[in-house]
Amino acid sequence: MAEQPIEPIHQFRITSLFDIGTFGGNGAEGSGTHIAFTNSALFMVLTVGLILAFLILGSQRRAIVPSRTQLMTEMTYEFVANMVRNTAGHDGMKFLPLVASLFLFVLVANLFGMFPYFFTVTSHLIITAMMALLVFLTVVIYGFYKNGVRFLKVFVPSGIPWYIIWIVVPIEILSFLSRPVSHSLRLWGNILAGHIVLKVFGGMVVALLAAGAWGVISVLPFVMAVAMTGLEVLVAALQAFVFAVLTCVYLHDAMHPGH
Amino acid sequence: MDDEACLLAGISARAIPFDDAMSRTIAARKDNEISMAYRRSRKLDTLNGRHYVAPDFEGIKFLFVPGRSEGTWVAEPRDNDRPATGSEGRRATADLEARIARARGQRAAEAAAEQTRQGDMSGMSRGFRLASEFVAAIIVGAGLGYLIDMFLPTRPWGLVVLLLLGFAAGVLNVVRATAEMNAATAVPKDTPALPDDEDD
Repeated sequence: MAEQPIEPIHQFRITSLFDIGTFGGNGAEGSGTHIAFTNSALFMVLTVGLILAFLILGSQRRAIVPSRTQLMTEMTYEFVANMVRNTAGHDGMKFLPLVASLFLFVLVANLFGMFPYFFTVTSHLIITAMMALLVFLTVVIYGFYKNGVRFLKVFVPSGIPWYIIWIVVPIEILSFLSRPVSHSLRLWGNILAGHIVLKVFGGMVVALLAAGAWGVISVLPFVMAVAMTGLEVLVAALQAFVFAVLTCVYLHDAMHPGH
Repeated sequence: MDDEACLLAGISARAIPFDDAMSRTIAARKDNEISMAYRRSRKLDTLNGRHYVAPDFEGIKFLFVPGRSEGTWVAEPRDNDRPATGSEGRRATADLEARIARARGQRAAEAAAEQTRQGDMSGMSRGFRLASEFVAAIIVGAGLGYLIDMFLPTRPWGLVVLLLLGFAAGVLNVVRATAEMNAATAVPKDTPALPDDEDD
């Protein structure tokens, strides 16, 4: 361990657990699409499995006096449902399954990442970007389906004189297009930064302990690492919440274009 | 809310007048067997062993079955000469009212504090939120401009113009996100105004 350099980003490395195969390509090295069951995929499956087990166990016995599991399930549902109702409005409740799925997936994946040696699914931009794109495309497609051309009003704030509109509309379009980017960057950045910081502090403890007399001050980064762990658990939950709330905000725009 | 406030004050709304005033009224009717049962059971009663009711609860007359159980006193109609309107009763009610009001105020304050705590994200995530809103718009603007330049003979103006527009969109995003955050965290009324930090 001492000779091995401390690599804070080693934890994000994707490794193949078993290969499924290579599709397409001409058989040469590096051509075609290589598909494998990776550690990321494993933790996605674990995340979904845990959520499914939790929800199925909780809703099995629909007792009037709920058991603890049922109570937790109901509280989770109530939490997400209230969030959707407050942010997206009553007609946003048809998107409750989407929001609840995203929220639970992000939450459980983030919290899984807090276990040592566990892979953090949401620390990869491709995952968060795909989720953000899913939301973005849902908003665009449903917005046009529901409102038709009136959906374009989302780019035109009301009460603007005509000679300013030509400047405002491109800015609004860019602002709208930047939503999936910021939506995905925020979750990814928070989780990635948090895990790197944790690893750096942890690495400092090891490095200082290995440096003989300097080991005395290894208490400081250790205390910091403990504090950061607490903060990271908070960030994990908070970012899942923020991701879901922003999903609701964007869905609200899809149903009620025009500010 | 009212019931909750009563619970918070640690009282049952109906239990208050019992001790001082009502017991005397009821004592005046000693011959009444029902009131004897009433006096014996000053705690919660179990009507037919199925429902928990307050001692002077009177709302479930339909459950009254004569001679069925000791709990049938519940069916006694409310006494009109009950001293709830007398001075003692009024004092008790006023006291109760004050306690409910106090509990309710406490609860409102707690709810407000909770609201602030929830709306108030940690500083780091707040910063991340604003930074990502700002950076995202610039990235999108620059990327779009670069794409336009790739397909149209406008190099380098597409990138320049759209980068600047992206900057403007980023500022717009930040302003919107800040307004959203401010709306989420309502400033308490008794917050002292910020000191004026102008030099002159």
